[in-house]
Amino acid sequence: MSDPNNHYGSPLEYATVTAVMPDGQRITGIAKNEDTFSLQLLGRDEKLHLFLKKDLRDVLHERRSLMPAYTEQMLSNEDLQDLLAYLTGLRGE
Amino acid sequence: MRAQVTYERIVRAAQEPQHWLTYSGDYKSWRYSTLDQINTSNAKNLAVQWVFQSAALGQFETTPLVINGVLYGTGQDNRAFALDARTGRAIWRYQRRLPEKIQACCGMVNRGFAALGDKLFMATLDAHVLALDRKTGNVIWDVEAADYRQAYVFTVAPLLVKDKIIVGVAGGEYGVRGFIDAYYAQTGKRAWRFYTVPGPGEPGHETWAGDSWKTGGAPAWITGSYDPELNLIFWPTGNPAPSGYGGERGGDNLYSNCMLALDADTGKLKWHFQFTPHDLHDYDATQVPVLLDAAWQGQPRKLLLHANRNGFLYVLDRTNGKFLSAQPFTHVTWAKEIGRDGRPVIAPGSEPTMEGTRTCPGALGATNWFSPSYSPQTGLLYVASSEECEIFTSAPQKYHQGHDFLGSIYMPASGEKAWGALRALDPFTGEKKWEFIYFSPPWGGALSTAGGVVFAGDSEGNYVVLDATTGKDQWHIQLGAAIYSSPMTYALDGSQYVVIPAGAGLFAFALPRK
Repeated sequence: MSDPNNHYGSPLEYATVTAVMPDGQRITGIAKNEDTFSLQLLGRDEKLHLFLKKDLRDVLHERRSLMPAYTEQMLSNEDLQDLLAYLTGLRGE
Repeated sequence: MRAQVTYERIVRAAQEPQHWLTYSGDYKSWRYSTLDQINTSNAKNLAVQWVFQSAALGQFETTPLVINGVLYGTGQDNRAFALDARTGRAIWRYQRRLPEKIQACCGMVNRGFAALGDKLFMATLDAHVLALDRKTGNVIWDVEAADYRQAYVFTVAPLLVKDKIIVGVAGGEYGVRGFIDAYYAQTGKRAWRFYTVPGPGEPGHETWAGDSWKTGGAPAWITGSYDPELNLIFWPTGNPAPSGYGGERGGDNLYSNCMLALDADTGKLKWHFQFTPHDLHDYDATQVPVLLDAAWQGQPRKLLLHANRNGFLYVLDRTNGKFLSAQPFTHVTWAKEIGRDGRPVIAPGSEPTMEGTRTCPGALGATNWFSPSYSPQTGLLYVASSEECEIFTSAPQKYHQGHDFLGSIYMPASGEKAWGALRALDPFTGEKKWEFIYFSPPWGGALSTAGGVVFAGDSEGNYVVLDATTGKDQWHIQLGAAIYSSPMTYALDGSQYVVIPAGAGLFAFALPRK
């Protein structure tokens, strides 16, 4: 959680993907799905972008998560525990 | 119309492309058809004609046969069926009851039938060989080849040669002693057996330290090829067991990871060639051998092509097993090259260790059991290929009958995206003429035709038609599940059909009728 780029040998589940439009515009997010011909991207804008790869100039894969990494100095273990306790304690109305 | 399948018809299968009479289409295993109705100018018009549901989960790996308008296929969990090849409507269904515990390493799969006369032949997950009545699906004879409780299973499509059914056993992940069997098609009586791990006193036994031969593996779970002139069956074998730890099986471990040339009548070994001696990476040689008569360095030769799981494309002289060449067709790190004697020059530090060693190809290989295709029209060999490296670990393991016997685990190399491609290779030099990139490693093979196209499928469920000369995508369709088989084709009522399984469905495509 504090080191989202380390999946201990497994491929990153939330690796960064960028779709490059013919005009150079870039949309970055995580791939909800992808195959040889298409890409279903959840963008940083929190919108779904559904692409056919033939309509894109390029698809760039980065082996890093969009989630920020937190060092012990940025987020102490104690604060992380508190955050987890808070999140797991949330209940719907 | 001739209703009966004869050996002579299979020898000349290329002359009746409206049928599909044997697993790879013909004895040369080209998986090539002279049908040309579907071609580069009209493939974009292909449309689904029918879909058959196998009603089973898991990988659907069959290559169906088509004989006189009826399609015969096998499915998951010992299933089989006959369909009207025009409509996909079932004529009969068969399922052999499965025992509670079957040790099939890689799915409860089956790859298809062989046919002779009015019979179909199937090898089952519980290690039986069956003859079924083509008209009804009723069992005509049923023989037990081995004990499934010792992890002997069949997943292979049998090969019919003359009056015999040839099958090879699976179970290399469980320490079986591999074998290839021949049964008389008429009675089911066993004609011969060739053990792929030699016993005491037999040539090759000395390549196993101590008693390691008893659990040596060397399964034979993919359909081989046959040369009627030489009367030789060419049948590949799989990994030695345990696959990832060799400390107690010192030696080359014959006949694991070999191409075997067996006399079709007697099962006697004519020659062998071992691709990966003393394998430590699970580089089974269980890929379909392609037979080609062509000039080699100016001389006419009877060649055998083998795109091997270890990453090299081999060319052998199939009259005597002489090594002619081997070139890498994927990224390879386990060997520096294949030497002039045909033995690999092992790269230092490539052996698995307790801590793990990154090696390419990964354990699932540069390619696997799915079929290559050779087109005489383009002179190219089409091979579904994987680019994946893995971390191989290794440790001693005690053998327990019927349990996994691997001596290792392997996992994807961290941070590396595995991918794949359908590659068109010059069969003599290994030169890559083109490739069509897949998003992930494929489990579907290839079919080429005189229409100048190649049919193939990927692990994301895309069925594709490519220009055989350029690799350009002509048409594709998403079938909704990974493709774990190789396409086949037939013709009926003036239409060419192409068939591929995906998920639980068997899909048939053709051009729209005018």
